[in-house]
Amino acid sequence: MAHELAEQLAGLASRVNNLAVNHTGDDSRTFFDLQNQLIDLSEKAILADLDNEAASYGKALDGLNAAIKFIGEAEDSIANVSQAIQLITKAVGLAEKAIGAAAKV
Amino acid sequence: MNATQSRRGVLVFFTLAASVTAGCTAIPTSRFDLLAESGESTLKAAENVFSRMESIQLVECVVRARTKPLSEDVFKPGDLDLAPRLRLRQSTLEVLARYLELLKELAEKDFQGDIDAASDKLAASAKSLTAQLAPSDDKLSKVGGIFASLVEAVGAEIVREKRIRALEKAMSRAQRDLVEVCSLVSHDVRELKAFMGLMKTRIYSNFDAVRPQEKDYARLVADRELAQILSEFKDLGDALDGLGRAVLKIPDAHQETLQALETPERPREALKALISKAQQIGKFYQHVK
Repeated sequence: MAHELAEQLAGLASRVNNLAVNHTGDDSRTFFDLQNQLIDLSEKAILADLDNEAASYGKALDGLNAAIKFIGEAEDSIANVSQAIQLITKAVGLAEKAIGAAAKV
Repeated sequence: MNATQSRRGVLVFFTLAASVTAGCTAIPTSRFDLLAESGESTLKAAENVFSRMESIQLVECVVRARTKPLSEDVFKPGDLDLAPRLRLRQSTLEVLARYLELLKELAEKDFQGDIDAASDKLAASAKSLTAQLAPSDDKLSKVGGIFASLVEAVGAEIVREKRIRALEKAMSRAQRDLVEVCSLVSHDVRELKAFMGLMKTRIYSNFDAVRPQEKDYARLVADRELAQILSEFKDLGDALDGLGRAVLKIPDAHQETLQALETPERPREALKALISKAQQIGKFYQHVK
């Protein structure tokens, strides 16, 4: 079951899309790339048979929740862009591990 | 055997026929028709939706390839391929449709061949009996014909009862699995809808990123294409919702059909035929007294 992880990935992707729209230049392009990565991962999470009790799954959720909490609803541009990018990139990495672990099973 | 004994024989036979038909149940064949139709139409709807989802996945592949170097494989979905998942769900719905079709076949199959064989044997023995009784009396020889008609009505009821019991047994066993399978398919449909949402977001945001300038004609062309794609996503979303609802209705319809089998209903036509025959025999006996 991948329900919660896929949902959180999609939720973060949506917020990051808002950031891409609300920022310009390199920041916008970076957010845009991260959004595409998050959509990739969310689609993979739906297709994969994930173990929601695996440690990697829990860590991935924690990473996503931390990023979502920092960004908020992203209805405007945010002040600390670099920290947002750092948290999102970390969340992406953790989600990749969780999904990669399921693929190996 | 004398006339009194033969009359007793007729009465005993009639009592037996009446007792056998007392608990008889009609098969609600129209319900089985509807059940089979719903399985088939759900399968057809799924085939249509899944085929369109595969087509629109190609659009997403093109969008994903936007920032990648060109190659033969760049437009392939890779590990984001929906097709295997869709095939699996389609196969599941096919099994469901074939099961409901089989139920319909069992409910409606004409076992006339079996009835004919049994009624022929009993009619032959009844004729043999009447042949031993006052062969010159043509009223008694008519008893053989009446027996054959009764056997046909009774025999049909016996076969029908056996068929009903078989259907009840099979459907009772299948009900829980049916609920579980339909629930899984419905859950899957929701996940597919979530996947479609992600595809739409990706396509929309990428089209937005490369949208031509306001003054360019190319903008109208690109916007029109995006509008068509978004419209297709809307239709697919609605179709998936419909599919999810249709699948969830099947277990309830299956359960209702099973309950209709378990509720005894007098088959009016067969009973009328029996009553008519009984009246004929009653009149016959008034003549022979």
